[in-house]
Formats: sequence, C-alpha cells, structure tokens
Amino acid sequence: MSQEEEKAKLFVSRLLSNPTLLTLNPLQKEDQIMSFMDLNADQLKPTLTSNAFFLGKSWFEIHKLLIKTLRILIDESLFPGIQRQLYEKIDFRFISILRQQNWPQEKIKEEVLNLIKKIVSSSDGRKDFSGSYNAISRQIVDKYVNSIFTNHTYIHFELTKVQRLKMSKEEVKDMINTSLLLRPSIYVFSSNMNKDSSSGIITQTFAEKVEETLIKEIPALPEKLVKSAVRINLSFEDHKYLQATSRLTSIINSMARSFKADMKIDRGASSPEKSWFSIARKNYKYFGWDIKMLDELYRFSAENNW
Amino acid sequence: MQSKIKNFVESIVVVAIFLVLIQTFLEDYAVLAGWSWDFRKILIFTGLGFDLFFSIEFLIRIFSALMKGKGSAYFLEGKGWIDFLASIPLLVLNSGPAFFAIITGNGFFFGMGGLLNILKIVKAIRIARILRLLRILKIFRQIKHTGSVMAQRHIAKITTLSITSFVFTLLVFSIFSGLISLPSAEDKFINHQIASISNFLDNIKSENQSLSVANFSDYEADLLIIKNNGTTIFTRYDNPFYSTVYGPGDFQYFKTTEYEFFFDVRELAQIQATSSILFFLVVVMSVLVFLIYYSPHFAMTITDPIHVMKRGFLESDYNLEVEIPQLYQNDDIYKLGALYNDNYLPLKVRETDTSSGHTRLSIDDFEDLFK
Repeated sequence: MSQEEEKAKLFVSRLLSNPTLLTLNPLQKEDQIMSFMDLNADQLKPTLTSNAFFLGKSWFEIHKLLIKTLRILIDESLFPGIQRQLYEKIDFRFISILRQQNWPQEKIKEEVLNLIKKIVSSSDGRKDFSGSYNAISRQIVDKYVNSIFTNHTYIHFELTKVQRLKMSKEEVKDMINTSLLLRPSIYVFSSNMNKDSSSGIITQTFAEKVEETLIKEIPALPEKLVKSAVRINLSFEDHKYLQATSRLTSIINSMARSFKADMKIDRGASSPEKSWFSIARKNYKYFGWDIKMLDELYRFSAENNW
Repeated sequence: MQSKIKNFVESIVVVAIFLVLIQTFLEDYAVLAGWSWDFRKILIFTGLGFDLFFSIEFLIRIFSALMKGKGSAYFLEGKGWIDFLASIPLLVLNSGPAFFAIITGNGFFFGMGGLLNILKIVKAIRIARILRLLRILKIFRQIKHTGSVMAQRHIAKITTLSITSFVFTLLVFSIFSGLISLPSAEDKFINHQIASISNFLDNIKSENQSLSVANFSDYEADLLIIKNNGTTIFTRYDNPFYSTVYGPGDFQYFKTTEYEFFFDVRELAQIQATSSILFFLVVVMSVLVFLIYYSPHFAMTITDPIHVMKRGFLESDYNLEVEIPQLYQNDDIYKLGALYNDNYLPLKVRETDTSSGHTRLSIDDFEDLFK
C-alpha cells in the first residue's frame, strides 16, 4: 500500500468511526461520508491538497482516491453481512416450489451472491441496495408477513388467491427477501434504464429486458421470482396486474431505505413505521404503490406500535 | 467562582423555602394538636428567622437589580413582588410582633390588652400570615418542570394568578370582615365572656365572694384565673402548668376596677389554625395539580406537537408525524399538526427521496480529522 493510500485509509477510517454513524448499515455509512465530502469540499480541499497530505494531487484525484478507499473499507464489512443474509437468513427451498423441481441451494446462493457483487459494483446499485440490506438484516419482512398471515385480509388474499402462491408463511418471507436482494439488478444490465429519477419507477419494456437477461445469466432463478423481483420497480398505478409480492416488496424496500435504528421518537410523535406508512398513503400514486396494501400495513404498524 | 457562590446561595434559598413551608404547617398544627408552649415558642422563633432570611434575600435581590437598572424588571416580570410580599410584611406584621410579645413577657400583651383586644391583635397577625402561602410560588419558580420555556412560562403564569387570587381574596376578605364587623367567632367569644363577667359582678353584690367565684368557675369552663385587687382568689391550674402550656395569645385578659379575669382562648386559636391549615393545603394542592397534572397536559397538547413539527422542518431525515389524539383533534395545534402530516411531510418525502446531499456528519465532529 502506497503512502497516499495509507493516508486516505486513515482519513476515511476516522470518518467511519464517528459515533453518529454507529447504527447505520455499511452502505448508509458510505452514503453519509460521500455526502459529507461533497458538502464540505471547500473546507477539506485546502488541507488535503497541502504538503501534509496529498502534495501535488488535484482535488479531483484526491476525491477519487478517498471514494475508492471508502468503498474498499465498506466492502470489507458489507460482503460478510450479505453472505450472512444469504446463507443464514434465507432458505432457498421455496425455489423448488416455484420451479416444481429441486435445485441445489448452494449453487443458487453462489449465483445470487455473484449478482449482488455486480449490483454493488455500481454507484446507483450500491445506493439502492441499502434498502434491501436493511430490510433483511432488521427482519422487517418477517414481522409484516407474520401479521399478514395472522389477519388473512387483503394482502393475504392477493398473495394466496390472486398470485396463487402455494407456500407456507416462511417460504413467502424467503421469496420476498430474495426479491429484495434481486431488485436492484436493474442497475447491472443497463446504465441507461429509462428510470424516473424522482420516483424510481422504470418502464415495462426495460423491465422485460432486464428479466430476459437475468434469466439467461442465472438459469437457476425461476421466471416467477425474477419477475417478482424486477417488477418491484414498476408502478402499480400503470400496471394493475402487478404480482402481490412485487407490490409488497416495493413498499417494504422503500420503508427499509429510510429505516434508522437509532431514531429517537419524541413524545407527541407517531412511531417511525406508522409515520412512514401514513405518509406513503398520501404519496401512493407518486411512488406507484398499492394503496390497499399500504392501508393494511399502516394498520399493522399502528396496532403493534412499530 | 462567582457563579458557584451564586448557585450555592440559590440552593440555600431553595432549601429555606422547603423548610419554611414545613415550619408554616407545623406552627398551625402545633396549635391544633395542643403542643407545649416551649415547642410552639421555638416555631415562632424559627418563623422570625425565616422572615428575616427572606427579607434580607429580597433586599439583596432588589438592591442588586436596582444597581443594574433592572429594578422594575425584577419586581414585576421577575416576580420580585412575591419575594417582597412573602418577606417584609410578614416580618413587620407577623413574626416580629409575636417575637416582641415573647421577649417582653406577658406584660406586653396584658398592657396591650388594656388598650386593644388581644384577640383582634392575634387576628391581625393571622391575616398577615396568609401572605406566607405565596412562598409556595417561590419554590414553584425554582422547579424546572418541563423542558419547554413556553410551557414553563404559561404554567408559572396560571399558577401565580390562581394562588395570588386566592391569597388576596382571603386577605381582603379578612380585613373587610373586621372593618364591617361581620359576625366572627372572636366577637362571639368576647361578648360571651363580657356577659359572664357582668353576671358575676352582679351576683357578687348579693352573694358572698366564695360562692360567686365557685358558681362562676363551674359555669365558665374557660375561666382560668380571677384576681381581686391583685390577689388571686381563683385559679384552675397551678403556675407551672400555666407556664408549660400557655403562651401569649392563648388567654384573654379582662380588667375591672377591682377584678382581673383570665380566660382560656386556645379553642379559638385551634379553630383559626384549622382554617390556616385548610388554606395551606388548598394552595399546596393547587400547585401540585398544576405541576403534576396540568404541566404534562400542557406539554403533551401544546409543546410536544410543536417540537415534533420543528424537528421535521429543521432535520431533513426526521419525518415522524404528529400524533393526533382523537379527543383534541379540533384544537388549533392539532389542526396545524394535521396540515403538517397531510401536506408538508408527503411533499418533503418526495423532495428528499430524490435529492441526496444531506448528512448527519459535521466537520465540527472531527477535531483530529487532519492530524
């Protein structure tokens, strides 16, 4: 490691060790530090370009080196976390139900891991993967699916009667968690994806292209699962026949993206998840969510004070 | 160093306020429970000590404020008027005269008795004692019952208004009831004793003295001593008992050309003490209700929603809704909260979802970032 790389590592490590970032996931930490460097560039530039640090380097080069170092350090904690999620938290036996034939789980896990590595190699993919990572590591899917299967109302009907998933509750959780991991694959197959920059919604044509490529790249993944994962990025407003798992995963992913474990709930404020669902109900058209699902999830969060 | 001394002195003042509240209660309770005069005397002395302490405290505060040109600000906005009313008038009208009566001996009261009615003096002193209740406001001022400055000001305002209204109503009523001669227990007591004495003096003309005294003492249970030309002709108890149990204000003295009469008026003092304890408890309860019930209610229904909205406006990643209780949903503050929840937050989420560039890190967090 060169002297400059060591200096960069020391600098980034100091930023990462800030206590305010303690409860964030690795990708959220990365996002915070990148924003910090952008917002404070005017103050950082004179010192970092001085003799004591990176003499002779332009701010552009220094910034690039710091971002590269940041990614290396983040990946060191991110990949073990992803592996843990894949190998310990998700059971891929549900794939056999979807394919109607047995597939070796290890092979599927390996292929999904490779795909995730590709996803997080792009800046947009990294940013987007944060929600999936949070949702699985905080077991957000588990508690809502439990409530869905206890209440047997709209979402349960959509999953079991409309989408006709012949799966147990645990298998549905695994399918949604896998969809969450695969969802940002749209960033792998195209840099120009016709994505609405504000709502994150993609077009159906683009979604179909991604599905096609994904099925070719990872033949172990059943078509139903691939569609469920990729179409999370479609708007329910425009596609009324969107699978229930896609609609549900889209909502959970967005909520998990804004999840903050250390959030202090002030007296007089609603709980974080109840607040999120309540706001989402007002923005459902904009983000292309299923309002009936939001209503039901809002009710669960309010009843359980989540 | 100076602020440390100031904090130390302020702490002593707080302790003194707590202690004087206990002393105020005990002074009345001692009368009600019939505690010995020696113990009640200690309570009168401590009362004087507290009145002196608070008078000095007020004088220092007002002098200090005047030196800074903030005399009226301290007296009016700083509630210096409470400090004043709960100190100097009490020293001059209450504990001062009581202390003077004790150190000059019973003769002072007897002398006064010739000119004024002792019960009237005791009553005047008791009226001044009502001002002591204002000291509860002094302790209330010291308690930081909520984090919000606005909540503290409003609770302090409503508490001061209600307690002051109660105390001044009592004070004015007590003064006016004396001026317009409303029927009182004291007058009834005195009139009864004057009638008894008159009856005794009539009887003594037709009966012998011993029989008249015996009949009078049997009939009048409150009669303690009768003297004829300076010689005691009747006493209900011996002298050591009088000196242990009775203090100035515990007996009423009447004098004619030949006879002197001493009556026990402790029962009257007990009635007055009962009223005083009742007033004290009303004030304490009112303050406690404001502090324990109304203060959290105010915080919950006014300052908490404001705080939630303020954080939402200031912090880009704080998007918690204002919790709107069904019971208060028509309150202006919750109508505003509903607008915040329904209009502002959804727009904010749409805006912040697309724009990056907000971070919880600050350059000030990193003292050693460049070391």
